[in-house]
Amino acid sequence: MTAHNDLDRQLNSFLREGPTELPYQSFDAVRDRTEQTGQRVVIGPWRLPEMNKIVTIGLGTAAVVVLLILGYQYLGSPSNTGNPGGPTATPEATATPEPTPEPSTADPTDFAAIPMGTRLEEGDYVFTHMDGVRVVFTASPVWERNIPDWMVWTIDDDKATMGVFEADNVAVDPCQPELGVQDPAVGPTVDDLVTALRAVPGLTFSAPTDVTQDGYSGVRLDYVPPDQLDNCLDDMGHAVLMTVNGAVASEDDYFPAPNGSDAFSVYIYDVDGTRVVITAAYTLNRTDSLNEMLASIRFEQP
Amino acid sequence: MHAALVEQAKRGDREAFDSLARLTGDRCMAIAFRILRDFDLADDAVQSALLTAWRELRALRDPDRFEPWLHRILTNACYAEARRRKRWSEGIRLLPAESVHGPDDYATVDNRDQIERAFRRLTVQQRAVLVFHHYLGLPLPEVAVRIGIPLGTVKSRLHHAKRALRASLDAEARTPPTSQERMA
Repeated sequence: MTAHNDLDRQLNSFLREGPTELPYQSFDAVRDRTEQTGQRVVIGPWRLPEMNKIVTIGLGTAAVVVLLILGYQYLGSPSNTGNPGGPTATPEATATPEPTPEPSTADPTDFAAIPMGTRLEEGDYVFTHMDGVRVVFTASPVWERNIPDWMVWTIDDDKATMGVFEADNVAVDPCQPELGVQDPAVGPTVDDLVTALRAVPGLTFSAPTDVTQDGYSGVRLDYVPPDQLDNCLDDMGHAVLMTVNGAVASEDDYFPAPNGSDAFSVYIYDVDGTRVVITAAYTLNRTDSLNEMLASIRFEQP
Repeated sequence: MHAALVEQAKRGDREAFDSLARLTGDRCMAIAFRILRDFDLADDAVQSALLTAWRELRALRDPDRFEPWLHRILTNACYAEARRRKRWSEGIRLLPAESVHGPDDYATVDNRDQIERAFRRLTVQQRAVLVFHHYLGLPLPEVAVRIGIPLGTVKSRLHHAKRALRASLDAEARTPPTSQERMA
């Protein structure tokens, strides 16, 4: 019999081999970690039109990330850190944030190398997943490493996330993931992506506003609720918006849905030819620390 | 089966979640190892998935779907671990052939090693589809649910994975591996 005769049978036999038990120490480790970890709060029923949320999902043939949000507050641009919150922001949300930390002279820590679920220490971290640029940021201890490795999460229920990636395409329709992404693909410029995002059916983005970060110009889009995607979410509240190229090796990374988030902004920069997308999703209670982190972003050559 | 424990855990009962973890952890380990082909990475992926499940449990709508939901988290944790390995590891090491199969399953040890090498050449996404379909015996629509991708993508990955396996095995049949490849 050759190795490839009856491939299914050989495959079945091959897959029967190997361990089938998790070491008891690992169960204990999980138990210890849960003792130190809170559960994310889901506000209200799963899906109500007036509810604020972020939803995301992995899709299809390329590395696809989906990001979709509901909310009505918006964040100041990364270059405008001292003015977070929209017209209805609470006093807490609009309170003057602490001064932006000065960049550290120490080498930043590779964010992807940090174990999952690890609370970050105060210091500089770097996203290294893009070929054309390293993105350095300063985090405070309210943030943690979690899945995926290009997104920072808050450690507690005052949810906020900051994602940094290179987007190469946009879903045809978040409500119809089977339609895949746009063909021909979205063009390479910042304006191309802005135009494509603003044309996505089912959700609305604001008109782009000019922003600057670390000397690089870009634009910011804010999600404008409500969306029309109530029936398009999977069990984890995901829907497809953008494909991610270079940020992830996997086709199936996704953003778990922090349904309590209030707002979502997208920043798109052209960093020496790399179109860097930074997403900021947040509740009012986390605008200050998120703004600090956004403002600390520096773009470096690999 | 786990619905009552899930409901308790969703209310923050860590004992209930610990019970859930012990009920589902072994199966998760079996899945993760078969996707990642590395015990330590699989262990890390399972721990990461269980912790994520604890954190996100309140977002789970149907308690009866806990295990499929956990498997989706686990799959993504496996992808993350695979990326980590790719980033930090210079190479991979074939595990010793801990054969539990009968004499009819493989003609020779070489054949078993060939399929091991061929399997490792697949993408982690392709491996996941094969594991859920061939190891767990799930129908393709359920594989799509567990992995969180469209059914068409499952079919496509399965097709390409098997084609790649056959191509690898054919190539191996034509060119026996060097001793270095055997140990790589």
